[in-house]
Amino acid sequence: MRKPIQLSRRTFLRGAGGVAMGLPFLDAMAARAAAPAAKRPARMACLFFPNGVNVKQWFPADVGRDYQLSPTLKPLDACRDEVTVLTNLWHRGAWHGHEAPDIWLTGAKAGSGASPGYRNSISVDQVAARHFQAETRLPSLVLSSEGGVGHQGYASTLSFNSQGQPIPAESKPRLIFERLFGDEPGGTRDGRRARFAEDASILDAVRDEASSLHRRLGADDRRKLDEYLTNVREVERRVHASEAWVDVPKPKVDPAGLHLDAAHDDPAGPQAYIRTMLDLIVLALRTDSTRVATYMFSREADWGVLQNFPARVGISKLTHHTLSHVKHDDPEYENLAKVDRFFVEQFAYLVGRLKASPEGDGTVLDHTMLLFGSGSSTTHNYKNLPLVVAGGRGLGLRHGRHLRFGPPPTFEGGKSDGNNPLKPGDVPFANLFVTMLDRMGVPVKAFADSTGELSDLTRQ
Amino acid sequence: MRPGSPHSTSSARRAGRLVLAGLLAASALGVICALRAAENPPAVRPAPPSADLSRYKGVVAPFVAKHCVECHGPDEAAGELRLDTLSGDLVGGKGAAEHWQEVLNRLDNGTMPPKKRPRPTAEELTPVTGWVRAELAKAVAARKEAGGRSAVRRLNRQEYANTLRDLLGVAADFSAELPPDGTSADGFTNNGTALGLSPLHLEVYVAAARAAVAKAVVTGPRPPVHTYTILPGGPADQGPAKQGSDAAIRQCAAKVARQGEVRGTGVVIAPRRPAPDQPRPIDLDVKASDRVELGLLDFPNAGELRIRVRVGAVRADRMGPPVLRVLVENRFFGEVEVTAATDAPGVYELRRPLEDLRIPWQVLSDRRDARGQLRVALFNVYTLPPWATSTIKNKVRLDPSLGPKLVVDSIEVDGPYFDQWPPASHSRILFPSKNAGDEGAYAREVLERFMSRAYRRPPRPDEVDRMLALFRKARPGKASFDEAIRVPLTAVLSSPGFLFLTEAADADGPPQRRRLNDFELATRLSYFLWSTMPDDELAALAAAGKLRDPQVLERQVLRMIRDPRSEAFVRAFTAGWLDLAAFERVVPASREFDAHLRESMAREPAALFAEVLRGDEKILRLVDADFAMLNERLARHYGVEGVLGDGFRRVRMPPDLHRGGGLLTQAATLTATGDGRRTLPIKRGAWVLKRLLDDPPPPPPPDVPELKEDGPDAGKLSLKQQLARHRDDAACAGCHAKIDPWGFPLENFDALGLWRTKDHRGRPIDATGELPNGLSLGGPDDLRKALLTDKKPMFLRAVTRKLLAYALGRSLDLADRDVVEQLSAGLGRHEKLSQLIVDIAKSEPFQTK
Repeated sequence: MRKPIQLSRRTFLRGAGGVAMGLPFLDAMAARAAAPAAKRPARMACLFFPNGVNVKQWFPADVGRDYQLSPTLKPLDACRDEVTVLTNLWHRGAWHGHEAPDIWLTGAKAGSGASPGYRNSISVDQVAARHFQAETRLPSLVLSSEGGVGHQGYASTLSFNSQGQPIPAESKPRLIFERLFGDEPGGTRDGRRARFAEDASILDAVRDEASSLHRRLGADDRRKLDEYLTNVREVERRVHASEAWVDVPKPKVDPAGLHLDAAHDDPAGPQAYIRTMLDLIVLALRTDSTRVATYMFSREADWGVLQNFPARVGISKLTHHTLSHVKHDDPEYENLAKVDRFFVEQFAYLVGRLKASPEGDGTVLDHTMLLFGSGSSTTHNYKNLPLVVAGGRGLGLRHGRHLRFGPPPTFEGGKSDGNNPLKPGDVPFANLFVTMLDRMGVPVKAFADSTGELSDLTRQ
Repeated sequence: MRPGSPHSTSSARRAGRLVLAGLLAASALGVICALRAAENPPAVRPAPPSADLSRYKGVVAPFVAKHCVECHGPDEAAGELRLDTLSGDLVGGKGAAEHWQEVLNRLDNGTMPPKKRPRPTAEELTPVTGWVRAELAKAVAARKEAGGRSAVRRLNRQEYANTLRDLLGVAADFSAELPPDGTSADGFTNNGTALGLSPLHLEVYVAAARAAVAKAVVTGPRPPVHTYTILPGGPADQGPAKQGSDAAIRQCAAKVARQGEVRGTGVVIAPRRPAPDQPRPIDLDVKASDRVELGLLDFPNAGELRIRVRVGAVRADRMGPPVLRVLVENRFFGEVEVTAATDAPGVYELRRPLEDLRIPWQVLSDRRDARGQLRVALFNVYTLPPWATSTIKNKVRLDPSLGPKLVVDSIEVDGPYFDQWPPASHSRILFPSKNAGDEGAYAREVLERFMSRAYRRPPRPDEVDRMLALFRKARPGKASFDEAIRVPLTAVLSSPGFLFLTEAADADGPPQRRRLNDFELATRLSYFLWSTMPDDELAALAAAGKLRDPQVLERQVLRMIRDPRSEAFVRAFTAGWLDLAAFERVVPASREFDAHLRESMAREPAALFAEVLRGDEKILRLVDADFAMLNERLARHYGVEGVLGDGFRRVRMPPDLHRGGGLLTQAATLTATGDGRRTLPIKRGAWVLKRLLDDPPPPPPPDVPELKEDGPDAGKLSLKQQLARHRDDAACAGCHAKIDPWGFPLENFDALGLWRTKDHRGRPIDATGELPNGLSLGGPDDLRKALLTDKKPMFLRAVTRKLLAYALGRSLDLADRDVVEQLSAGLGRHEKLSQLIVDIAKSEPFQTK
């Protein structure tokens, strides 16, 4: 009864004038799509997994170029020269490991999600997205397995806008695919133009109404209306930008080979779903539909939809959250390392796919910086995050090393008030963001509590 | 006032008072404005109270430094609280008043400073608590005076879908592409602060509005209806009979696949083989013999699909009726219990817009010309009990042939189906009018009437003018009036007036605290109890200015509770209050656990709440009901005999099951507070505290390893002993002495909520806990008793607080303390949930802005 979804030959050929590709065809056909090196876009993708790691198996024992990949990081062996392992970076504004994802890409001193004083700030991906928004159809691709924003302190998204408000993540592969590559409303070129004009006048009217309403509201209510107005303006900007795209057909992508109906709670495990999400990131970056992507594999603690996957794939009967809490001499702690390795394998898959995508005289990976890691090291501990950076050689990153910033780490807990002043010689995690933005050509002097660039990453 | 406007009568009646008020107003809203001005003359506003900082510096700060800062200071910040940096300005300092309230509670009940520390003398203490009390009172007064405490909020997904459905009269879900809503700390998805917006929201709003308006306002002649009548039990040698009965279809054919036995003229469908817990409602692994499949060729791919099945049931001993499930293109279309007998088959009808199935656009894109093959499959999804087994090759298997069966006589499929043409949705928006000949006048009339429903209040003239301008701008580019009017209608459904629940002032400038007008009150009521817009009756009462009459209001609240739409409130409220989302995340490791059991467990808490609400039971029955709300699947899980069928009904619980019927012993929450395999008494305790007593424990501190039962020395120590050891640690004791005793009395319920006397490692259960006040709890009965006696005021207050927060769509704060006390005291007297809801609707925070 089940029939695989197929796009007709006709549809496929219709797109031949643009960039036609589907995953099986992607690599074969990519050479045709190659752009001159000078025009190659700089890109960034950040990928997060929850609950920290088995610290004994994650952190490599030695540093520098000749370091040995740790057991958990072994799946990166094939792309060892494309990755750098970073140790001893963390955000001083963190106060609790489980609430660290909220600030993983923002570095804010946000405070407890349960407290009325909680305030977050813009995430690094959105700084880049704002810079490049005029150049791509979508400013950014914000993904998570849960979708939405979750709740304060336990976000289900990595991305926060310039007001520090969470940006809802998309989670359904088919909807994401359709937004990226589906038919545009309006049909013909003239039809699309008419539709854009209509959208613009509708947005104009609702913005007017909101402004009039705004004047008749109290201060708190005004903030809500401001949010509406800001977003209307952003969509207006996108509609105007879309007009510029009216003569550029959307890239035609054959969904054959993409498991667009894959579900994260598939009894066989979440890998098919996660890889579909990663495939969508690859496609979005390759087709230059966006320059920026974030993906949260799962939320922290018991909120995560991948909570139960260790049992599904036969790693352990315990949930991921419970595994992350066992004592370090417990036999189950080894199983946490297997969970960690599962996520590393997914990351290695993404690196591999980008590396297998030729572009110019190199690969897409050369111009894509990837950040992969978690928001805590071990139980509730927000210090010394497990982090890996990959790609972006063409943008000036240098790889194949284990960089440790400071002495070998210990894993005692941090204080819970988020009050961790920088000590002399400390290197903030946010320095990495400054370097990534700088390499993308986004002019920033500082980000969150940065003290400069992470220059080791760009030096041989 | 334009003739034919729905509000003309009431407005005319008000016009008299308008003149009396001596004000000039040209619009309905102007009238309301004047009215309010007359009823609520601006009060003389007292100067805002200011904080007494000198006494803070002189008396309080030294006390804090002496008794508190060692733990709640820069070095330790115990419980995330620093008192050295906590602002002494309760009126202006953000969040300061809440913290001081907590400090006051601890000082009053003597839990702080902790036992080991020197006690402050009464002379030290009294001025400090006196100061906190006085400053708190000022803070409350200041906040109440500020007004606007119920923030503007947008509709959440459910409300958006319901409102579009009711506003347009189109039975389709337009919310599918919206991202999930954020939740508040209370767990509710209608909290204004947690309901954010993003560009994605706005894009979806505009696109969904356009799609919805296109469904509601139609153009052109009625699309031809395609009708198929299939007789699947036709003679085997000729193949199943098929007929196409619409002359508009040139080519018509249906393919029928069936392997079932033919009985008379019908084809038999046995229950499908049991499938493991499937996250999706569709089981793709069923064998062909469990179904009838149709391939409808040349079928339209949009519009409402109506499927009518003539079917009877062959019942089986001790089992409920068979369940007919229909899938279309592998997607869930609908299901129904079949109770008609085979000698008198019934006709069961299922209707749904094909668009709601969200069939991938690739499938449809090959059929842009609107027609193609549509696959329809009929299943019998009755869940077989374990005793329906047969032994084949020494293996015991569930045997579908022993279950209840469906006998399908005929299947009729129509699409796109319309009750009438143009559909009622169209005629409601584009109603007959004498102005219909004058496009400008008619457009204004149409927009005014539509906007008064969409905005849940009469639109302001400038709002109508704005939309009318949009119509004029669009008109030249459109072929007809109907096509052009869709543009402003789309804008109305994308505007803040529709998307937000706003209670704006009538004039510019910062609003003052005021009583809600009738329209605002009707809106608050309908989103509180129905998660949708006011119906015609509420709207009419609001327009007539009668809703604020307390007796009218009470009658309306009781009517709304009885109305089936209140199911939206029951579900959303219980889901948030009891954290039922946690249950969805647990994946129990048990063969017993199937998708049907999950769904049945998930429905139980709301079913009990609804029974207490509508059956006018005492509120404490939520804790100690001697009945439970069960369907067949759940009754089988609990071991209750004689409950047949999928509907929930009231079942008296046999005492030997040790279960009772209250919230404490429902399988969904007992499962949600475990990890699917073992119970976690700490989580259960925290659940009772947070949900039933609204006394949430603080979050676990950094770097505390969780207890693991299967660790190296687990064999030696029971979980309880391990926890006792945990509590010996001073760092843990403060919280765990409070949490754990609420969880242990439930230890006799396993990770799926079933009674047990030994844990999963075979050790006897010790279900005792001792509360900090020395009260010992020996099991679920003691736990219930504690909630009904000692903790009864806390439980009533918790229910009140949660309900009030849900009703207001915001988190409660200090300024709500008094009203919570009044409401929960009232609840203590009448003990009725429905009366509490009436009281909330009449309460000051619900009635004011």
